[in-house]
Amino acid sequence: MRTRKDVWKLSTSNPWHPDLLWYARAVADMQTRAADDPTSWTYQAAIHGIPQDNNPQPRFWVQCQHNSWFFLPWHRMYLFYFEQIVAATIVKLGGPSDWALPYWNYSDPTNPSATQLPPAFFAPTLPDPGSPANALLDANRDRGNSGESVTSNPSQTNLTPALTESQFSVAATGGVAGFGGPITGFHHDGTGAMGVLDRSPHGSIHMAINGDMGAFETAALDPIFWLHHANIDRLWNVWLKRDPTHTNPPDATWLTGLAFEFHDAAKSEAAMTSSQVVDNTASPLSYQYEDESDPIGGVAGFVAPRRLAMAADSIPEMVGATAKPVTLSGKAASASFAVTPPTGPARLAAVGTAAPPRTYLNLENVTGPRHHTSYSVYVNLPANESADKHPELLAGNMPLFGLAEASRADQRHSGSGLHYAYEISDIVRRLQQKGDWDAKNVRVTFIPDYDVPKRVSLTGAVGEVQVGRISLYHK
Amino acid sequence: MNQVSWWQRFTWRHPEWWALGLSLAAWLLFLAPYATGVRLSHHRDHANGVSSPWTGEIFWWTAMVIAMMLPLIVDRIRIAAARSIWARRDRAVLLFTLGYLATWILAGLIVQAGILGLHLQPWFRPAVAGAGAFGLAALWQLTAAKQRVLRSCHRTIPLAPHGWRANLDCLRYGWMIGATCVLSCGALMVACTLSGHSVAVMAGAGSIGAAERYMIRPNPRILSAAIAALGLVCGLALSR
Repeated sequence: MRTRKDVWKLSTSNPWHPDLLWYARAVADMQTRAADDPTSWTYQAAIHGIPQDNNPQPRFWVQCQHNSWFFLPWHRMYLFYFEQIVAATIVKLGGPSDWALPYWNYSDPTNPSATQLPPAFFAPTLPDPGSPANALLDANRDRGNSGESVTSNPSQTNLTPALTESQFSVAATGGVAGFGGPITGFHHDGTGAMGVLDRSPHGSIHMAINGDMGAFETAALDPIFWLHHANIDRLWNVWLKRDPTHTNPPDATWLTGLAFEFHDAAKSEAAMTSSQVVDNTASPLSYQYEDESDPIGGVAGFVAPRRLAMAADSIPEMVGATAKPVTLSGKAASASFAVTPPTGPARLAAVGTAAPPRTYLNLENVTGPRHHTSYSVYVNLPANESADKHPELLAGNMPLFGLAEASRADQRHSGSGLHYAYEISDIVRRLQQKGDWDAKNVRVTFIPDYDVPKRVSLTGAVGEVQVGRISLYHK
Repeated sequence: MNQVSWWQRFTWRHPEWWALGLSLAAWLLFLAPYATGVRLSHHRDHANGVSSPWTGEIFWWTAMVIAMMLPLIVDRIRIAAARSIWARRDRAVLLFTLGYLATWILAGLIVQAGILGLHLQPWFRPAVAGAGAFGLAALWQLTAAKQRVLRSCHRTIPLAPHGWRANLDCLRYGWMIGATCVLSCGALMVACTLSGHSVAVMAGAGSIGAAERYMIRPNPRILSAAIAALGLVCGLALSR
């Protein structure tokens, strides 16, 4: 069984640890192959997406699943075949036969360098004779290639919202978000709120690096993409293990309803369903992670009883929203709206229980071109005060990964844009206790996480983002 | 929530219930002649190339849309309801449905005007035209444009929470989804019309439409073949 290891532990022992050096050599070899070769770097990246709608390989290219309950199983399959192809390439080049894809744990509190790219990913050359160019360096990155942290915003690597989410998937009508994503078909429209893990750290890290990593259609061209997704895949296991009530969907639709198609290392066509990848230690996957320990032990036991009681039977109820879209252009922006007391199931659910309803902030129909920054979203941030002084008012991160693709009406997307849902029950409770909650004036503030990079690579001009609607739901 | 009746709970979870009820009523309208023995002369007349009164044509077109199309937009109706203030949910569903039907009725006026014009031509054969419409629908199914339109049928838009703006947004949303549905399924509906609103053909076409909307990953080639097969069966039946 292959063991996927922490890349920073490898890198700390040796910046050019053999696992990284062989990965670099294999990537360089794959980059020389023709685009129509299923084992080529171009082909593997195109499975995730391509920059235009004219798809010459509709069965195999532009297959990535986001904003969907297939987000996690599809990416697990994708990584499995990629790892197989890289491992076969390494053997062909004379390397070891047990190579496994490392994972990048940017949330490791014991590692002060966790949010930096390991040096092997930005070194210009390999330590091989003749100093060949390093294929792990992607010059298109907006951040990370100077050895700096790709993000200084701890909320972007905070695992608590994702790991404490009790349900894997929820209906795609919006209001609430599940851990893995809304119940959808193959396409990913942004109809329902994206999964909490999909949003952050997944989307946040994509946008922290940006460049190729900032869009569905180019993300897999960056070699760090695969280590990032190995970590997301690992976090799926962490979520399952940390609480016995955390389970995968039992639905046949999710388990066996859809077979995704790939090519294996022998270039033969292959297909897999979710049921074949729910256990990564079993055949055909047969790999494990070096560390699947719970990084936030104890949190689940505190919140689970209330969530379990409510989750199964309650219906989200919309209680207020903005009437007009909000435009973001890389600067701080705010919008206010009024909320009314719930009159439907949320009101009845609160009867006979001391617990207040759970409250969710939704950002619906977020559309626009590629953008240079993600945003941190605050609730009732006092005017003229720095957001840094009020981490307790942070609802979460709005990464905007895949914004351009989700905003475009094409064969894979309806053009509805992205949809985020954040549980803000604790924020509302604290504001109410302090007397700072005014139902007639709920203010949401967007703070950009990054300035416009000096060298804008793929982002292009700083476009405007439209948040179609900000709304509040009770459940 | 224990004090809530099962019916109330059902309507909370399925705000589309009355739109589906309307669809069921429309199906019963088409099925009634078979149960009562009272023949709707309109149907065979249509297939035989005899034109019915204009208002009757629009009535049956609308009934056909209600029967076949409302079940295909259940998820959009749920979206319109879920994204509205609770007290406005039924109104949101009503306005969305009205906006949706308005596009189809407008399309129906154009289609019926065209069919009326064709009826005046001595060479016009409804069975041949019906087969042509099925063929067109089968070919359309295979195009990239059709797949783009189909994706657009799953679109959402921001809905204002209160007042006339909320009403307008629900109407507009229904109109937008209706417009994409007309583009996506229009040829199939014209074929059904030219078949004389045959219940069997409508059921077949409705099933294809439902498969396209609700299958987790519909295969355009299989659906195209199904439309072609339906057209063949319909053509053979009408030519007897």
